[in-house]
Amino acid sequence: MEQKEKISGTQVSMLLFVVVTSTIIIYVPSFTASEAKESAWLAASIIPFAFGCLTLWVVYKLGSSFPTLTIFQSCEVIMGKFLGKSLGLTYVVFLLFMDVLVLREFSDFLNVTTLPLTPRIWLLTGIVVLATYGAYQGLEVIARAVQFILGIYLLGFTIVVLFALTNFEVGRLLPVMEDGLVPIIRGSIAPASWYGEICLLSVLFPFVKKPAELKKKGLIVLIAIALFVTIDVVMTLGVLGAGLTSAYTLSFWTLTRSIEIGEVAQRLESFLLVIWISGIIIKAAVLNNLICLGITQVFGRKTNVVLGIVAFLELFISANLGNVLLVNVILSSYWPPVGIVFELVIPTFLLVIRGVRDKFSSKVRGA
Amino acid sequence: MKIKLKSLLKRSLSFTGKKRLIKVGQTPLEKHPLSASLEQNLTELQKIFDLCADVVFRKFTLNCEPPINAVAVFADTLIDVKSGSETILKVIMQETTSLPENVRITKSNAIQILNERLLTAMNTKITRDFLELADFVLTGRVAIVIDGSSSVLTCYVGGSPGRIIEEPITEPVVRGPRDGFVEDYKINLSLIRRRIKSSRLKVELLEVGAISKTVVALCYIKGIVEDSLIEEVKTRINRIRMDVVNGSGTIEEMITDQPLSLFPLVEYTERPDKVAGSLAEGKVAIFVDNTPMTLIAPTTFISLLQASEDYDNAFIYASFVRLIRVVSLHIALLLPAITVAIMTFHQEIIPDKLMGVVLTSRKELPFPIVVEVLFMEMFFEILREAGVRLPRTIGQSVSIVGGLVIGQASVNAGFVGYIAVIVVALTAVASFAIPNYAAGTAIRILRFGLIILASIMGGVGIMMGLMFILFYLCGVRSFGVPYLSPIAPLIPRDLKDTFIRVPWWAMLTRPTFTGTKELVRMDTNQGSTKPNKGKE
Repeated sequence: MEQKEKISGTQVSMLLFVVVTSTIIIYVPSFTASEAKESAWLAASIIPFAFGCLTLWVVYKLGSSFPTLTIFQSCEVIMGKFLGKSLGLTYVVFLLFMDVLVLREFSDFLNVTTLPLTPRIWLLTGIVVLATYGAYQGLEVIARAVQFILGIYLLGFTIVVLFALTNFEVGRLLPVMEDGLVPIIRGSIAPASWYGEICLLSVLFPFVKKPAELKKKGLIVLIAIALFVTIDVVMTLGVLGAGLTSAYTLSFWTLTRSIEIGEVAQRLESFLLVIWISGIIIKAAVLNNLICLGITQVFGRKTNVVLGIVAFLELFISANLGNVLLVNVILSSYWPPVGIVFELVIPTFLLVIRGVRDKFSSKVRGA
Repeated sequence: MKIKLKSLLKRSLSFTGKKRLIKVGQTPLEKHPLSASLEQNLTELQKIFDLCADVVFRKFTLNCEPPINAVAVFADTLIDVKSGSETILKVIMQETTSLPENVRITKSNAIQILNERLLTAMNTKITRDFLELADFVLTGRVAIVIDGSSSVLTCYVGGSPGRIIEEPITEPVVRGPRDGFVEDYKINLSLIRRRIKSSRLKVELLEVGAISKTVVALCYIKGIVEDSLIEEVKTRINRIRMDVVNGSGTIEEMITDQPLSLFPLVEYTERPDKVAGSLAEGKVAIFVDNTPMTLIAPTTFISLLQASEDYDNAFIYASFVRLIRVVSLHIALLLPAITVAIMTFHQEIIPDKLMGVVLTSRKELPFPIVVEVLFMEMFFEILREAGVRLPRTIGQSVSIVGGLVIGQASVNAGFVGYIAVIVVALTAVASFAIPNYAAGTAIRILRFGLIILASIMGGVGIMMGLMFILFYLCGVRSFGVPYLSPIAPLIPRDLKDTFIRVPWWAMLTRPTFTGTKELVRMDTNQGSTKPNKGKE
């Protein structure tokens, strides 16, 4: 895919913010609370934040040493043609599965909450068509769409939080760190992998107008995400308590259900639905675009065909992935380690190899 | 894929784009020079204007020794006949004696003397070609063909009267100027020139239409507008090859960025103050002869929600009105769809007491809410169309019979619920609060799609539809300017004139999306100062 479009650093940071938080907002409270109980908000913020910073640093280093190449291409430069292409392909598969999980989050969430009678395949078809359209329009357009919805997204979240404050009790957050550090660390694995989605920067890097800004702006995004997630988890814990938070898979959604303001507004979950869907569609569109980009750069095929193939693959895999429970288990237990490998370990590995090769070749040249 | 779609459409309309315009049964008039003989010229002209009853050949003789025969050729429907006879025929036939003694009119210098000493017309041109001559006659000039001369003198003696300047019907204001454009582009240009008295205001004339030869005037302020924009507009207009251009709508569709756009990518207005304001923001105005609707390019989505009155009203009120418009835009687009979604999928969001009201009113209705809403929306659209097309006197009776009688009866008979009627009425009113008519039509069409989506998937369907519209709008450009700017891409500085309007003393810079050539608009620190501060 010949992409000559450029997006600004601010647009990238807004994009990453929406991409990361749109999954987190629904799932994080229950995943962290099931391990860390009342200290879930610590699990969701500190260690994942550190992990995110580390990922950002590695990805930034990798990106600034190959400022015109995406990670699919830099793999090839670093590892040689065959190994590099294979690694690039695994990255594509990784993104594809990330996308499939996003689609399943979307359809399962809707099936469980508002549209129990709608067949899953129609929901999936709907979002795949939309995401493919977004991907077809290009990164620039998606970035603009993010700028448009970010205000609504944040406003919606703020309104939900403010309304939920009426049921908030600080006592439900106590005791802090009852069982020591181990549960917190265990609970922070899943959020860490989601913070690590900032590694998408390694693909977005060549499209950014002033890559030097990314260090600062990336950090700002991470801080914003951490703040967002902490508020998210603290609110859910404070309203529902640790037990309920871990019992409900979609605990933040349950939180919005409990909202009642006089006799005017009650049960604002449809409201949350709206802002969350906009985020998740953006995320699917971005991933779709990047997958197509990856396939194009690894295999060198034309754009529109790839778009069709990717859309079909996504639809096929996500429709046959199993039931809601299975997806939840994958999301909470199997996906985070895989995510961490692809987000941090492999880029670090690439960076190290490049460092070693540089040193080696400079020695050779020196001698 | 975009290109494929376009070519497919063209093929299905059996237009390959390769054929030139074919003029059936008529060889096109080609350039050929006049001869020196009046007889020959006259025969040729009579051949050209064969069966053109409005073209008149007036034969006369120049008052000199020896007398020279001459013919005035003109279309008497296009010129001011009285002024023509005074400025041309009277001086030629009667006042040649006023010439000095040493000047003698001969066949060779007749044209020159007429032009320089005799004719009192302000605007004269000399031509030696039949094609040009025919064009001049058909644009309302009087051509004077003189025996023995191969050149022809043409002069402009005023046009036939057109509509007088009236208050614009489609864009009325409470506060602001009351003049509106008319059909004659010259008068329209004068309305702009009156507002911008600078030689930097440039006017370029182009001609579009092989048969209609419609004048298209390009207007911009040099130094503010980007040169690339002018070039782009000019190439796009020059690319148009068609026989008759009837109005600015044709030009708009031919120069727009997206061939299949639902939203207006070129704005039109009949208000000179709006055009003048847009020119000052670095936009280009395109005047098309014979229509009061002037095009403005590039345009953004936000500008469709702005009225020229906003700049005249106090800024707090103007901002308030703009916010109201944004709200009504959303009502017009979403309210029926949201109603359908809530009544079909999300009943839990309705508060208990309201639910009671809703239940009692909907208990005995035969159709689901989506059928009711769609039916009422269709009904409203029919009513609106009928009201626009009919003569005003009958239009009223249509609205009484349609709105009151049928509406009331269908509710009383129990076909349609009160909710659907309220929702559709509110939507209809809200859709008229959008200042730009074309944007309003786009919203109305999208509304039907959203209602159907809402009936299938509820709020999720609405959201999917909205995201589709958003992706679409984010990708659209109008002459290179992103349609949703300055919101997406976000240009914080330009937000001062979008959903709100800051006071004039804070309107320091021009919008950047039309270029940054001359960004500063006024001096800083011009805001109101307290009297005692001013004295120090």
